[in-house]
Amino acid sequence: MSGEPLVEIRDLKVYFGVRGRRMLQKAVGYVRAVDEVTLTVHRGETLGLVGESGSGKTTLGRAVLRALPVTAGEVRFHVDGEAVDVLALRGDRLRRFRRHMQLIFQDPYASLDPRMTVRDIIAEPLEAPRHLRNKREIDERVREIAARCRLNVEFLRRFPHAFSGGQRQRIGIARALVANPEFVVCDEAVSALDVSIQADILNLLMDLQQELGTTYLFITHDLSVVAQISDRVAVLYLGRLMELGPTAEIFARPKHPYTRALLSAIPRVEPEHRFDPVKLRGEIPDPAHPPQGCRFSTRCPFVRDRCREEDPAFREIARDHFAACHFAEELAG
Amino acid sequence: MTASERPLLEIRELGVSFDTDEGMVRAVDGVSFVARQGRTLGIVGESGSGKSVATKAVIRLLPANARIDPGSAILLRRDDGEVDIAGLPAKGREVRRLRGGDIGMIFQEPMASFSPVYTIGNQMMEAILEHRDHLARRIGGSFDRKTAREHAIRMLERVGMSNARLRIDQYPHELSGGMRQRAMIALALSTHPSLLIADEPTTALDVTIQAQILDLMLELQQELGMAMLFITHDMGVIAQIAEDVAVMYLGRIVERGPTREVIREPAHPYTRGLLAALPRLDTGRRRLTPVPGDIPSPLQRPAGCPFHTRCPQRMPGLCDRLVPGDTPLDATRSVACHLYGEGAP
Repeated sequence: MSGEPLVEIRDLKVYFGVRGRRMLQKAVGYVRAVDEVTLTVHRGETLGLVGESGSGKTTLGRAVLRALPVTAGEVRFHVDGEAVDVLALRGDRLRRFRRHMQLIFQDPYASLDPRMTVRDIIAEPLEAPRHLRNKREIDERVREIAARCRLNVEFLRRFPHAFSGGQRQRIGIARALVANPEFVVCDEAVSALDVSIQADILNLLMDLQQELGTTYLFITHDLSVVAQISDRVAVLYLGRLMELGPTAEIFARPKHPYTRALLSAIPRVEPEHRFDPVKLRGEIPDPAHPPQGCRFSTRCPFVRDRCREEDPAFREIARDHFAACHFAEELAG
Repeated sequence: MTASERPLLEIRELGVSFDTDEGMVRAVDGVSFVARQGRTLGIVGESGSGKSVATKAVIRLLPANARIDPGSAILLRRDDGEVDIAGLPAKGREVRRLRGGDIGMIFQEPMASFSPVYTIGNQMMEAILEHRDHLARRIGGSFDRKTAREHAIRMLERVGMSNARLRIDQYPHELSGGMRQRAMIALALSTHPSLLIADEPTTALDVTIQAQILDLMLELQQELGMAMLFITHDMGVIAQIAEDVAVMYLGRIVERGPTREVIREPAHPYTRGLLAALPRLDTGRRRLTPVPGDIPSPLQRPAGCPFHTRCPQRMPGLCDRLVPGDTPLDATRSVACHLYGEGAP
């Protein structure tokens, strides 16, 4: 899918300082949570972003939303015919711009203020940046989005503790979508839900996308969820992009050894499927001390000398299918 | 039935209730199952299914406000005869002797097994020495501090910990998540239990680490010939690790049988719904099939079949009144659903 770009991320770096043992000591090192990531999210698509602990997937999502400070790089957001430099926005302009981009959290329990009614929770993004001021207009908009999220209008006067996990996640989704954002980051949005409920929320997200044309950056550790909801998939490892391509391609013909290992490690429910995970050596390295050369070289079953010395370029291996591996063509056979 | 498939643990009509401020909560309601030597029984269920409570009852690690029904039986076969764990005092010597001796436990969170203030080695040696009589019966030999330490190092090596000789003197917090999980498995298996209870042991792990741990557990079970109870919410994990499966919903087992058959041809509408709701890797972008409705609050257990409030095939007048009994489908499978009962349509 080569669509029109909505969010262009270029050479994005997010480093966190690591303090020494003594108090007030200056940073003694950096965790490169996101390191030189370049990625374009197309208008109307769902881009799945997968990775394990320490991959930087959550950091990347928050950085794009300006929810945490960025070390270097560029984020361009195409809205109303112009490309806005998101990282340059300050003060009031940033506050006003926030209605274009929203976040859906993992934990519907923790992310809803227990002292606010459901109506006020959903209405929050409308009220904060002087977006809508008229109470009647706000009420109308809240009722409309609640209905779209299949929330009972009766619920709006209640408090969130009275709701089940699935209903709370619907409230979170309604709040994220109430101001009609173009871009929504879903961070493990269904990971805390039971399977029988999770399917319902995934369907809702797909329906809303069709109705409203929303673009999703869908962050998760769960590859089967990504397979189900995404048009394209990006694979992160230790802050670096390892692979990017159309979903069916990634799952049928992974080009990067890490993606292959990741896919083989999923316990499949199909009884005829033999569980034979690629044996990866060791554990995920400490992101404060990433390996030289290719980040995956310490665990890669196909590692060669060049991998330990030279950082592989992120390049197009097949049409619209990119990987950061010196030997991607060879390994793909 | 071969000797290796003798029932090691048999649970009959287990009921567990919690006395809460908001009333009595029936968490486990008449559950029966058998765990056999050398085999793994997977117990799968969502929130509120009672899967964890049922297995915590086996080791008597229930909170103080929990009550086990008087009619429940938890029979563990030991070399010197059978013991009914349900009848023992929860804090007594006998239960403590079984726990960590005959019955090993691993949990989602390794820090539930380890104390943060002692080294891995200290805690393993303490367990080995406390259960040295049991261990002597299982593998022979006698254990003092020195041989217990050697045994602990062997176990750490066995679970794939490099430099076990050095790491044995580390504290749990000094290990990574995956290594801590391995250390917990080594601790649980160091006394060579005849039954291992694994409660969501890989749920908090990354998928590549989970694969390593599942692989290790399959290997160790074969090697040690123990019975295993594997509790998880993940059907994929069950499919890979358990020969048999029991599906729980709101405190009851709704279906059981060999895992492959249950997955290939689920009989209970809940099992069918659960499998249909799973996202799959190979189908491409598509709408999913959710189970309609929400899991009822445990405070408001539905009358009759616990699943009837969400069941697409409920029969009014029957399912909302009568609790379905366990109906055998063949020699190895059974289902608790009126669709299969006597006089079913």
